[in-house]
Amino acid sequence: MAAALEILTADPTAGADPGDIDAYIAGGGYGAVRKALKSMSQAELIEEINASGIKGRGGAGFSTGMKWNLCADRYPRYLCANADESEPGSFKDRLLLETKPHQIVEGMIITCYALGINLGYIYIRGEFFQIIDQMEAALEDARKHGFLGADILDTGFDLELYVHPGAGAYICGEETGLIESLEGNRPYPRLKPPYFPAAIGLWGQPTIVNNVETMAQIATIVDMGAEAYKEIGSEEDTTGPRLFGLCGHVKNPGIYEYDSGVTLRELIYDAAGGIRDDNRLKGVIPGGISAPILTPEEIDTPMGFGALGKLGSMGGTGGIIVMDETTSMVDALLNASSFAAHESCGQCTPCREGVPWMNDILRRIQNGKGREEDLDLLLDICKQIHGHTVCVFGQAPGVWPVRTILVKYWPEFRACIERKELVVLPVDESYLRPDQYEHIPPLPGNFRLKAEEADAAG
Amino acid sequence: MATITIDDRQYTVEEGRNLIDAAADLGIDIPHFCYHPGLAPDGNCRMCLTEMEIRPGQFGIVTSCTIRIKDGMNFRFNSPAVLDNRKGIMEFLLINHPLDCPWCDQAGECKLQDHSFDHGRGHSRFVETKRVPPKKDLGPHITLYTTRCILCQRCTRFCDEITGTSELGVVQMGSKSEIATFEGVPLDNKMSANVADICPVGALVTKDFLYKPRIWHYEKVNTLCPGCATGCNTTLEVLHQKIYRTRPRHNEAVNGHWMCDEGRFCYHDWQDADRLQSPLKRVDGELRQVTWPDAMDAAVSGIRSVLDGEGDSAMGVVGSSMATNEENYLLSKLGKEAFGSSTTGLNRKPDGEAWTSKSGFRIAADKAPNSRGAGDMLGADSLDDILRGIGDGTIRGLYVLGGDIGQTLPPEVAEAFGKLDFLVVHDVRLSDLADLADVVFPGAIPFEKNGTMTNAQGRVQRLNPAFPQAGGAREDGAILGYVGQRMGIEMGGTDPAEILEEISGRVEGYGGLTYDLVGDQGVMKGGEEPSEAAGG
Amino acid sequence: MTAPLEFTDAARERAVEILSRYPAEYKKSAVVPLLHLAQEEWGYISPEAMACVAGLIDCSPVKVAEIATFYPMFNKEPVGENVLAVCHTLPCALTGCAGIFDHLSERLGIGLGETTEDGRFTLRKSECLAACDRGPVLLVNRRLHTHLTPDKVDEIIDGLEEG
Repeated sequence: MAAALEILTADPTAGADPGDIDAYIAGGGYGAVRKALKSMSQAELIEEINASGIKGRGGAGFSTGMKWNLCADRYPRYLCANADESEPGSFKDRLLLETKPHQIVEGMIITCYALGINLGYIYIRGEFFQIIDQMEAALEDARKHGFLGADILDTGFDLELYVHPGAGAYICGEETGLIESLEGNRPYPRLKPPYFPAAIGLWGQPTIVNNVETMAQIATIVDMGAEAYKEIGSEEDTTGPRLFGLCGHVKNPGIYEYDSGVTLRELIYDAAGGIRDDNRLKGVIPGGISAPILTPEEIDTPMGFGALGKLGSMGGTGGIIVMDETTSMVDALLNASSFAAHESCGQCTPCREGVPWMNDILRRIQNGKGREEDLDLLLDICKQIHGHTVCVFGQAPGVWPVRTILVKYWPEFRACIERKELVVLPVDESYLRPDQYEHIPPLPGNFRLKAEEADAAG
Repeated sequence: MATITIDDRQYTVEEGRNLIDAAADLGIDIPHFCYHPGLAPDGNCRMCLTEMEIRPGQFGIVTSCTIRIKDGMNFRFNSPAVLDNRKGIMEFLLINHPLDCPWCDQAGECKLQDHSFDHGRGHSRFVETKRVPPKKDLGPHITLYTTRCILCQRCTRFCDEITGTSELGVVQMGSKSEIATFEGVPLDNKMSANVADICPVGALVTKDFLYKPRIWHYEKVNTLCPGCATGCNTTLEVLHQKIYRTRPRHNEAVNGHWMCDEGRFCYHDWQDADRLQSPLKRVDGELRQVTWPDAMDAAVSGIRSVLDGEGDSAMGVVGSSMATNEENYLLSKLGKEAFGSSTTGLNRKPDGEAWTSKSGFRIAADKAPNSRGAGDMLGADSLDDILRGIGDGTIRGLYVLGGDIGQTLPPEVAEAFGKLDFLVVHDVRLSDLADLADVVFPGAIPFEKNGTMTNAQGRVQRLNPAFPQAGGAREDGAILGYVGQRMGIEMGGTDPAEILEEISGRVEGYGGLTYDLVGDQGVMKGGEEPSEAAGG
Repeated sequence: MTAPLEFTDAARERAVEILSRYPAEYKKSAVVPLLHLAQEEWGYISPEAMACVAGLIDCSPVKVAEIATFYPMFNKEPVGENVLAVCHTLPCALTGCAGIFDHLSERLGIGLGETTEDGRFTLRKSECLAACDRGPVLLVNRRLHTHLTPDKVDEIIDGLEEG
C-alpha cells in the first residue's frame, strides 16, 4: 500500500478557523509569498515551477510550467484561478477552498509575481456561497496584511485579486468559457486556435487560467522547493501530491492524498474502506464524470495521468465515482448524459443537438422502449460529435461516458432492449472483458467493440 | 498570393483570405451556415470543417471560416472525415427542424435544403419529439419562425457588428437556446430587414415577403436603389410586372452586403403611385388628357413661341436627380442645340437625415439617387441660375424633368415657375410641378428605367428596368429624343448605351465609360478611387 | 422600453464596489455579480431588473437577458422564500438523492420547479454541488446540507417552517 501524504491535507491553522490569517501566518503561512517575492526573481520562479514537473490539476493534466512559458510577451497579462468546480464526482477544490483559502491566495500572488500580472480573479462557482464569503474575507485580510495592493512587501510589485462568482453553469469551467463569462458574455468557449488564453485571453490579453488546486500547489512548490516536490510522484504521471476524492458506493467517502503511483484498488479498498455492505464492485469512474469508466478488471492501475491514459481513460480531476453491483449502468449513463444535455452551452451544432438526442434515446432505453438499432445509433452519434465541437465539452462529458459505458457494459444495455425493461445483470455478466473492446488513441474515451464481439452481440 | 494544395491539386489564391472565400474564388463551395462574408467568422455551425495538414503527414479538423490562407497549406475537402462530419451536422440540424418546406418562405433559397440535398442522409433516424418553440414578432419588419432557427447567430452578429444596435440576443441555454429581443426593445433599426437576407434558413422572414409566390417564379433584375445617393446595388424579384422583393446585391465599394429598410421597401411607394395615364395639356387654364401627338405639337409650338418671341436664351432646362445620366444628358443637349440655351438647373430635393452604421454603411442625406450624375450632365447642381433668369425676365420658358413621387416644390420655386410663359414637364404623377405645367409628358419611374446613375461617391452604376413603363408613360429619353427631332436637331440614338458612349466623349470625368465597363459593379468616374468604401 | 427597477442606496453602493473590481472600459464583466445582487434585492430577475443592470454596465438590455437566462442560478420568475435544490447528479444519485427528492416533494406537496401555495418553498434539482463525499446533499438558499436522510430533511423543513 502506498503511503498516504499529508501535504495539501495538512491543517495550516492548527484547528483555528481556516480563514484566520493570523493563525495561518503563525503556522508559517505566507512564507511562500515572502520567499518568492523577496528572494527569487521572476525567471527563477518560472524555472522552479518548470523544474517541479507539476501538471495542472484542472483535469486535462497539462504541464503548468509549459502553460506559463506559452504566455505571450504582451502586457497587461491577467490571472484567472479556476474554482468553478462542477465536474460531477469532483470535490477536491471545495475542500481546498474551505480549508486553505490563504494557501490559494498565496499561490495566486506567486503566480502573478512570476508572470508580471497585476490583476487577477478567482472564479468561484456561484453555489459556493460560504466559500465565496470566506474567500472575499481572505483577500481583504491579505490586503490588510500587505500581501495585496500596492508595493507588496516593499518589492514594488502591485497586485489586486478579486472574487468573481459564477452562476451555475458547468461550461464556465472550460478555460475560454470562463474568460467569456468573466467578460460578461455568454460563456461560449472560444475557438482554439486562435484563442489560446496564454496568447489571447481575458479582454484580448495574455491570460493564465489555472485550477485552484494548482494555485495551492504553487505555494507548496515554493515552500518545499522543486527538488523535494518532484520526489513525490513521477514526471509522466505528474509530480507532487494528488488529491483523490472517493464517492459513491464506498464505505468511507472523502478526500485522500497520495502520489500518482497509488492504484485505484488501493484507494477503493484500503483508503476508502472498500465497497459498502461489502458488495461487489461493478465499475468505477476514475477522474470526474468525463473520465472513461473502468471495469473491475481494470482497477489495478496506478492513478497517474499517464497510466490511466494508457487504459483509454484519464486522470481528470481525481474525483472517483465507485459503483457497486446494485447499480444499473443504464441509469448511471442516463444520469451522466442528462448532466451533459443540461450543461451543453448550445453554441455549436453537434453538442447542442447531439448530446440531448443521446439523452432522449437513453431515457427511452431506460423506459423499456429501446430499439434494436439504438445502441449503434448512439455510437454513431458519438462519432458525429467527437472532434467536431468548438470545445472539449461535447466529447468529455458528452461523448466519452456514452462511448465507454455503453461499449464496456454492452451486455447490460442489450438486456434492457431485449427484455424491454430496466435490467441489472449480475456483475460478471454485465461487462465485456478487455479483449472484447479496444481503445483508439490518442484521445481518451474513444472505444469500440472488437469485431468478433460486435458479431456475437448481433 | 499563396500556393495551397486542395485534395492533392495545387492552386494559387490570395494570401490572408479565409479558406471559404478562397475556395469560392476557385469555384469550390465549402458548405457552411454561420459564416457570412460580411460578418466576423464565428465557427459555431461546424458545417465547414475540413482537414488541414497540421504536422507533416498529419491532418486535423479545422473550421474553414477561421483559417487564413498561408503559403504551403494543404487541405482535404473530400476526405471521409470531412464528408462524414457534414452528414452528421446535417442530421443534427434537421432533427429539430420542422419539415414545413412546402410553405416555408425560404423554400428554394434555403441553405438547409441545398446542403441537405448534397450532404444529407435522405432519411431521419430521429424518433424522439421535436422541440416546437412558438414564433415571435421581432419588430416592424421581421418575424422569427423559431422552430426553423439553427442558431447560427448571423442575425445577432449583424446587430452587434454592422448596426451596433444589439437588439438581438440568444436567450436560454443549450438546446433551449433561442434568438430573442428584449421586452419593449424590438428589432427596429434602419437596416433591420437585412437579417432576413442573411438568415440561411427560413427562420427570419420579412413580413413584407410572407406567403408570397415561390421564389423560383421570379425574374431577377439587377439594378440600383432609388432611395438615396448611396446607390445601393439591388436585385429586384419581379413577377407579372410587379416587384415582390428588393434585396441588396453585394458591392464592396458601395453597400457591402446590405441596404437600408427604407430603400428596401420604397418600391411599394413607386409601384403603388397614382401614375399619369396619358400626356396632359393645359386648355382654358386646366390640364386635360390628350394624345401623344397632340401633346407633342403643343410642346413644340409652345417652345417655338418662347424662342421666337424672346430669343434663344429664353428657354431653360431643369434636370432631375431621379433621372439617369443619359436622360439628363439628352435634356442638356436639347437645351444647348434646340433651344440655344446655356441656362441649366437641377431641382434638388431638400436633404433628409444622413446616417452611418457602426460598420460604416451610409445612408445619404440626399434622398435622390442621381444628383451627382445629373449635375455632371447639366453643369448645374441647383436652380439658382434658373431662378435668377426667371427673376430678371431672361428666362420665359422651361423644360423640366420631374419624376419624384415624394418631392414637393418649395413655395419660391412654385412662384417662379408660375411666372413662366411656357412650362413643359416630365413627371410620373400629378405633382405640384406638373400642376404648373402647360404640357406634361408621363415619364418613367426609376424601376422602369435603363441607364446609368452616379452615386454620391462618384461611382457610375447601371440601372435596369424591372418592367415596362406603366399606363401611358414613355421612356424619358425617347420623349426627349422626339422633342429634339421635332425641333429639328439631330439627337442621335435614344439607346442609353449609345448615349453613354456620347457622354464619354463630351462630359468631363466620364471619358472612356461604356456599358460594359460599368458592368454590374459600377466604376468610379474619372478613374478616381473612392476616398473610403461605404459598404461597411 | 421596459422601465428599469432602481436599486436601494445600500445595493447601489455595493454595485459601485462590484464595478470597481473591473477595468472601467470592461464594465460588462460585472454583469453576473450584479445579477446576483439584483436577485438578492428582488428575489428574481425580472425584465425590469435586467434593464437596471443594463443601465449600470452600459449595454443593450438583451445582452443582460442573454446572461440572466443562461445561468441556472438566476430565477426567471418569483420563487418561494426558501429555495431547496436537491443535487441529482450521479454521485448523489448513487447515495439515494431520488428518495430525498420524493420525500421533500411529498412533504411539501409540490413537484419539480413548483412553489408551495403559501410561497414558503420552491423545490428544484441541482447539478453536482461538488460535495460528492457527503451525499445526498441539499442546497437550502445559501446553505448546503449534507448526508441527508428523510428524518434530517424533516428537521430542516421543520426549522424553516418555524423560522
